[in-house]
Amino acid sequence: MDHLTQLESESIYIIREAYKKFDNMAILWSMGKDSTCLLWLVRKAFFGKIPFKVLHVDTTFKFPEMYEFRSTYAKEWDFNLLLHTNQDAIAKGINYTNNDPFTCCHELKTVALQQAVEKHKFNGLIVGIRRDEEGSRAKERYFSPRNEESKWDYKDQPPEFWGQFNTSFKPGTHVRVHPLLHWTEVDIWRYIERENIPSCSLYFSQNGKRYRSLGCMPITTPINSNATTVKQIIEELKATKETERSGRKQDTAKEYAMQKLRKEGYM
Amino acid sequence: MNGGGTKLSGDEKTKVVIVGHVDHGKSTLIGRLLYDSGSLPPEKLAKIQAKARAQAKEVEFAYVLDALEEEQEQNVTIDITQVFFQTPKREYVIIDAPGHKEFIKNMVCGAAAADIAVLLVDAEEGVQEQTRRHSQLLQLLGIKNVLVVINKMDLVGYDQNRFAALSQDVRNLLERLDINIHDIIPASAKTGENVVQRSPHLSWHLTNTFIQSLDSFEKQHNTSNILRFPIQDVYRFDSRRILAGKVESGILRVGDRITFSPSNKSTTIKTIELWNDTNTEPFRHQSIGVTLEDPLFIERGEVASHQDSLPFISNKFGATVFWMSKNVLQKGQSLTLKLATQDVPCTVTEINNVIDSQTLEKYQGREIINQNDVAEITLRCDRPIAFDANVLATSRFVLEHDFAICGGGIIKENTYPDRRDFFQNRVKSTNIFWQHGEITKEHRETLNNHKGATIWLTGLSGAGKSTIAKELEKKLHGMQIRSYILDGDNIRHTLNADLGFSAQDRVENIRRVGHVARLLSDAGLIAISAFISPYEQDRAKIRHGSDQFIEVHVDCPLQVCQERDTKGLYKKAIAGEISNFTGISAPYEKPRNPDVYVNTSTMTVEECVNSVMNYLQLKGIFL
Repeated sequence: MDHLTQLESESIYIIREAYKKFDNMAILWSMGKDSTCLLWLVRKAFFGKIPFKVLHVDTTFKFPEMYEFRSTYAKEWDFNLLLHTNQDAIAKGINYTNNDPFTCCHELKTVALQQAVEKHKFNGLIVGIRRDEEGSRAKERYFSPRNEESKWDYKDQPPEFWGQFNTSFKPGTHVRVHPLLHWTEVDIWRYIERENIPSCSLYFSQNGKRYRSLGCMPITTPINSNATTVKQIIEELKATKETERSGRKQDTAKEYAMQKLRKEGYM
Repeated sequence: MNGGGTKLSGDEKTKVVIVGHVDHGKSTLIGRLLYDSGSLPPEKLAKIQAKARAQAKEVEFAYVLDALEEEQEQNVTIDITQVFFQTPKREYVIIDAPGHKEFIKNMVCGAAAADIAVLLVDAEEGVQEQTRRHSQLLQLLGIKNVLVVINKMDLVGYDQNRFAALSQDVRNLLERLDINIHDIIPASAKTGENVVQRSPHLSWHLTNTFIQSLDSFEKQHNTSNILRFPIQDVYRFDSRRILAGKVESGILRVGDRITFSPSNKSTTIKTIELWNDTNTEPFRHQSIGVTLEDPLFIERGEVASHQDSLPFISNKFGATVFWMSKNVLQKGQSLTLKLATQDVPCTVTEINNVIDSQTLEKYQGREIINQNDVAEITLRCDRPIAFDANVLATSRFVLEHDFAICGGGIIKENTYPDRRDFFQNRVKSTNIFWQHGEITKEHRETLNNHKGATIWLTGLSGAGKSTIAKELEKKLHGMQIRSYILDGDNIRHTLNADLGFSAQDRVENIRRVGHVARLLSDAGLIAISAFISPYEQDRAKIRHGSDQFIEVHVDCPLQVCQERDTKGLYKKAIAGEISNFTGISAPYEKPRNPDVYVNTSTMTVEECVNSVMNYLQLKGIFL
């Protein structure tokens, strides 16, 4: 069995475990390559269906190309798309001009997600994070409980091994499920290539620049690249030593910014 | 080795776990590997250098892995991280292993997935407590290959004799554990000697550097051909009823005749379902769906197998477990056992021994298992489950308690009865129906003036079953009630002359006797059976097939039975002359809910017989 099929099978298994366990589940979709890959895996797991809600936590600061991608595939793949924005924060005038990236991320993503979980009473959230993306994500589990305040206690996590996951949780916790945890960035692109999965146009080079990781427009910068096809992206990644999220400002805004964000409930 | 990458094939990565005593250099080795291979992203390297400068010390390679600030404060790795690197030969993922006792669960977590383990031993300190403890856990986790690094050779003046002596210590340790040593390498991770680059100080070591040795390791694949397809869920998104799951071992094909365990239902695979995939023959380990020829009611937890290689089914078995929770595990404690897709409540009925990680000696008579202990225990599940002794996915389980996985275990061979023959073509002729004559059981009972029944006496050897049976028969006969004794020894001379005392033969012995008892009671008689019949599940089966089944637990403490030893059997069993002797070397499962309970150490034979007689009258067997 080849590497990609093995990754795929493990992820499908985890997705099916989550679906069996949680009666009110959603998958987070940011239109990025990882969560789009994850949606594809959900369709694989359920033979073309997406049997739960797809949630986009919308900061309202995404690229137009991302919004376009969202409407195209929500229609084509025919799923139940939920949108949620932290309207209080928008009303208070929180934005990237007036506030630092840490505050914006916290208000527009972390708090917004908490609001959505609260509103829809989700007990399971499927999230497309990967261990190789960023230091604190390496500490994650496949099934990772969050308490009522959405907080993550990364020092007291039960172990997962032998293909067994923690699937019983204290009442009041909601659980983040991470089926892509063991994938690398190159794995994702190779899988996109093999399966012919659509990706947002921003990932491909225009005028010598492309985005390697997509986030909010004001704090996401492109990299120098001439890669215009998935194949060329894979070649480029094989040669680079830059980290994937080096164009994402919230990661470097403060020391251990991501860990702090994630402890409070960031994805 | 290079970080830029010349080979990014579709092969899966080789998983390496690094273990060893605290401060023997695990994180440093990983940092050194990444540094020397050029696999470190520039900003990470800059961060490490800045940190070292700020603290006015040398670059500490261990920092590479310390992504969390607490880790750096404590200078101890908290959790598993996965680090990727590659050599021209292949890709690796390193699972960092923590060095603190309380973090052993994380090591277990990481090591459970590893292809090879690297065991670090400090050249100065030699084999220490955690060297032993980690080695033992590797054995338990089924990691068979270890690459040993005698680290910090710079601190012992690159002494070749010291290396030879330590190599022998490590060999002695690992050979006892039946772990294969891939290689033993002298090195210094801190100075980078013999890790990626050779060192003039270690020129006496003529063979491989660490990385050459790692590259020379050939991965072994689990190639069991026995089909195990545990059902994960059942979907009805459209007209199809799809059973989803992962083929854990063997190969499944359309048209295969399969049996589901433990429910023991059989059918044929109609289709294999995949989405956006042209594969018709699924790979091993692939997540798939199937549809069946027959509309069977199958739920999560059932394991599909080919009929010629069924799994075992039992509610009780022995296992080697490791315990990771701060809360101790006690005899009698209830937990949830998760094996493949089966979840079942279970109880620890025995703690047979606890293995000391320091000496690797077994200690008996302990009532609790502490955090990080390894122990041999007996588990009783609330219902029978399907499992194996030699198929990874169906012999390993985890134990869950209080919303967390607290331990893992592996089922021990020959600690459970083999009932597979029951299910495997037991009824060799089909289309046979039970014939009912015109004279019914009721007619016969009217003629006899009493009902037919089975009185099933169960208890240890020497508890007094035969004595009670004889007295009971006399009493019944005196009341003109027709009865007949089925005696263990007598039946074994005749009907069951082909059976021995293995767990499997015991099961068959009881099955046949149960059937004879049923025929006798159907004939309107009172059948009195006096068999040890140690397994709860077998007694339950006979009860299930009988009209009037009266279970009598003839209880007596083991010690009293041993003192009586009427047949001299206990003496022989203790001397090891008889194997599989109930109470000594084979289990006895006490009835949890017997119809009649008698205790021959506190009651006379007369009292015991009267207890049974009273119950028979109460149930209206006779008037």
